[in-house]
Amino acid sequence: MSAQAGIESPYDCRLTRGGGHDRREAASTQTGEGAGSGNGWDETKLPPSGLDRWFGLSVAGPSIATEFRAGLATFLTMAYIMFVNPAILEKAGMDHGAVFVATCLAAALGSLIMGFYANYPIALAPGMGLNAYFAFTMVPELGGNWQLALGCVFISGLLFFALSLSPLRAWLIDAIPMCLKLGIAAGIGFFLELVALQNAGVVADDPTTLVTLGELSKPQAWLAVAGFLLIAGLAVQKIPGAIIFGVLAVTLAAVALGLEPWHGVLARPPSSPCSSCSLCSSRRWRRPCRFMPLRRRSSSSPA
Amino acid sequence: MPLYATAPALLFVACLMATSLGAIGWDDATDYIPALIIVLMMPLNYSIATGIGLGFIAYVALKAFVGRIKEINAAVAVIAAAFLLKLIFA
Repeated sequence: MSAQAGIESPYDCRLTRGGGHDRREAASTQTGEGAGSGNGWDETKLPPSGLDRWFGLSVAGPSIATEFRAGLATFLTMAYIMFVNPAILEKAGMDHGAVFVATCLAAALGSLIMGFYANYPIALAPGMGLNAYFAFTMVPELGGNWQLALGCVFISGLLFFALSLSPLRAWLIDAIPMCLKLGIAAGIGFFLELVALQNAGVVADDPTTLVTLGELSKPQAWLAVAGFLLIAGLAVQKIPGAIIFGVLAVTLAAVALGLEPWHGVLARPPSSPCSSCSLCSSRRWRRPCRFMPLRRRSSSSPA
Repeated sequence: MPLYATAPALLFVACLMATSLGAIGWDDATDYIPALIIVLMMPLNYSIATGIGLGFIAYVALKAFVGRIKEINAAVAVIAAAFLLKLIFA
């Protein structure tokens, strides 16, 4: 769903570059280190393993250990989306647990195809930006009908796929002036900052000034602020997984302070018939490839 | 995972996205004013689409007003017109 949406967007490219900065750097320094240490493949000593042959590692240079370290760093850099994507999409009325599982599956599938089919060291996951567009613009415009909105995303995915095969794609991307592209990327950033500050309780509504400072007497707001500073500090030091460590630290601190109940580390994936979701409760769930009849859906939406 | 625990991650990613501002050409007002309109209007209207639309309209209007119509791409003009119609009639 938002996996394809997140990746197709030209505006997300900037984010991917920004977010993946430390990851790529980590990967490249590790590659350099692996090549420089002289522990590279000596073909006379060991027969190349299946993994090595599949990805052509000895030809390219890095050792399998280097690949694993770079992969772990990439995972830690991107893993925050597992928690942020459900937090955004649940505002559209979607089931939190279901979105969590879907986000993980989409990232796993995308990254596996990228690795095994394209043999390209880029991991794919649902991206930030269009998920906010989905939850805060598309779904409200469709009268809160996120099922219908998902159908629109699917069709837009098909259109983007067709567009990618034609020269129209490059033309369309070049046609939008750079200043507007940059403005859109930054604007979504500012929009998400407002959402995040609301979620954190640092910003609250006010009848006269529209927005005002939240209730900072609550420990939740301070935990969020501390978590942000932790993430920023770790990221400045180029520590992979800065974001995910920050989220986990705030969650653990909240449990330790008794603000949140402890659910344990492992949980079952949410069972498919989720209570809030008409998609699952209907029989159509068993034939997921069928289109939902638009007529029935559109009757409840103003659009 | 409570909302205030994922908020720091969201805030940090949002900061990364906001760094795009640095690459805007700050020497040409017909470039940075539409960009700033997008940046301001997205959170203030609480709508990403409205922010984009107002930015495109401002871009076309500004370029046309200062007589630099040649710089306006046909695709941008069409998008701006579509957003203008939507804002007025929808």
